[in-house]
Amino acid sequence: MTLSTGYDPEKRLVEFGVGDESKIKVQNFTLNFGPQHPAAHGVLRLILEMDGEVVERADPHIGLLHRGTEKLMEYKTYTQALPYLDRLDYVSTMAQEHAYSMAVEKLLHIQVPVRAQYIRMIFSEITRILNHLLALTTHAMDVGALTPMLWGFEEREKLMEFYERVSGARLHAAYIRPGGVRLDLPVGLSEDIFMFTKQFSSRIDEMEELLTNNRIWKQRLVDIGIVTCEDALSSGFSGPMLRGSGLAWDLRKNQSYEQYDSIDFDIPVGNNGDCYDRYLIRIEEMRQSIRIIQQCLNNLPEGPVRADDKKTTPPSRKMMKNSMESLIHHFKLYSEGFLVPMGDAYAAVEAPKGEFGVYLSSDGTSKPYRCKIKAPGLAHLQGLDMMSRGHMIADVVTIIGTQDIVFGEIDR
Amino acid sequence: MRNTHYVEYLEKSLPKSVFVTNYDKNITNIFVPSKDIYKVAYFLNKNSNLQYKVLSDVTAVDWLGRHSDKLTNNNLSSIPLDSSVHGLLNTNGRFCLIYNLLSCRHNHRIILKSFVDEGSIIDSLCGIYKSANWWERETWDMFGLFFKNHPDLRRLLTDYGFEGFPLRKDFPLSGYTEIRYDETEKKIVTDPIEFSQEFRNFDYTTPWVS
Repeated sequence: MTLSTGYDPEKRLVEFGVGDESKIKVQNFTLNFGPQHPAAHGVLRLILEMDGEVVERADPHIGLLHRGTEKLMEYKTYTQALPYLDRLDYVSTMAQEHAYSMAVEKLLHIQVPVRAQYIRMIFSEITRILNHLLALTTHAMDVGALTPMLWGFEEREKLMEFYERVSGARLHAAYIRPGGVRLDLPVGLSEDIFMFTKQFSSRIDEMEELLTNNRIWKQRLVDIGIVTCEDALSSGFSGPMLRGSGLAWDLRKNQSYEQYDSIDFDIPVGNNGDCYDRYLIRIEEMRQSIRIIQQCLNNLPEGPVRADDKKTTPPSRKMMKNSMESLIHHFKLYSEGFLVPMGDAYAAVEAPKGEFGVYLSSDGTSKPYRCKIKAPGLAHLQGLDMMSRGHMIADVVTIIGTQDIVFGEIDR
Repeated sequence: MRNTHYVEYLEKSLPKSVFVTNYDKNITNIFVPSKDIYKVAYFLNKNSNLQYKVLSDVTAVDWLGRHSDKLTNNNLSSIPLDSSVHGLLNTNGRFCLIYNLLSCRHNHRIILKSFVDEGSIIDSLCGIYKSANWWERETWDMFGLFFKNHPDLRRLLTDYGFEGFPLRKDFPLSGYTEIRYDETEKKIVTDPIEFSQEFRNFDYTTPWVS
């Protein structure tokens, strides 16, 4: 094997008199990346086979954050299982509750009130902004730009305050539940969300000024980790990873759920399928999310926020004080839980990272018989080997960043 | 594509290999004998009228000792199947293996199901879908289902040296072992698990509702 530098390791060994020319084999250098590495976005252990500084093969070892979520859910009622979904991808929590709630609703055949659907859309999009802010700014930090993170996290703080005001928790909200949402929006929240959306696009502009035309940022991202459309499909990519490769596939448009078909928004699509395209897509998706939130706020109808089904949704506090029936319902729903008819259902939402799906199989009791969580990140991380081959080791960090890896959902 | 011709087309193209159980405009459930999984997946992927280019997910459900529930759950008890079809589909199989295929071209999903046993040898789909690699590794890890012609069938999520298949119904929630750091030996040791109180599984189901 001859390297372009003119240095020939085999020849060199022969010069030193170690073995003869025919027997010498050069082995690639194996590098252990992680599991504790700041650029690994969590507990990723990566075995890299290196030829000099070029990656020959990447073998991700995952499962260091495996908590057995799917097994645990089989021992909980449908209501108790919901908060586990928050703890998967802990930066886009509500999107996952949403997928789970949709799967349960499919099995129960219940309709969600329109107001609840709008609230779900508002918070799904807030979640998307939350996620993309973290994804882009930490990506920038891995590549060497610290400022976007400091700015972006201030905006995230405001968004998490909205989470807190609506559910009482900043991250693990457990707000979107089967049948609707937990509670109606508190007074004044929709005005504050609207105020946020009005100022947020200039925050995106500020971030773009730092990155979009930045020479270093472009040198690190353009033409790195190119994925063709065929590869993306075959590898099961979804979300920005698929759209970056040029396919306009967004479940909000293609398999519209809630009221997304009545909302006007665009889907950004990449040309080259490289990391820079995916960066631009995420930026544009945040802008589109603002559009969606503003339309939802303007069209937010009046009405109930939970399905009118006494056997699945708990009664209000007020009703419990006055009606014996409601009190019994409340007791039964929080001890036994609701019974879900026999059958199976697959529901998927366009989570910020891609298609997040829940496959539920029910045996007619109040506990899920099997709940399979289809996490988009697992498919993306699987594609890391394909994407990083032939790149330099520093580019692996860029590729991990562009894949938007969060280990909560990958290891489950 | 969005009509009953579609179901007929599937069943006629692959006779005795595809059994459609339910169909609607977004999702179709089909049953396939386990020996035909590769053939059917290849057809669904390559046929230009279908183009199921994405394998979103592979998983399984363990129906240990719950034969009638298994059939009801999968809509098989409502369809009159003669005994030869039952034999062909191996409806006595313990596991229901589930492939989730997506066609972006036609905006349609297929849930491909197949009954298999612990010892069944299933053809790997790695030759058709790149994503099958990790999905099948996970299914092997969690259920112990073996995939033939898989390039690299290692465990995926569980610890190095883990024994047993956690998502099987006869595997206890607590597992069998726990690990801790031993201060005297200066290394991580594995012990059999011990509880001061047994795991309590509350059964709240109303006794007078079947």
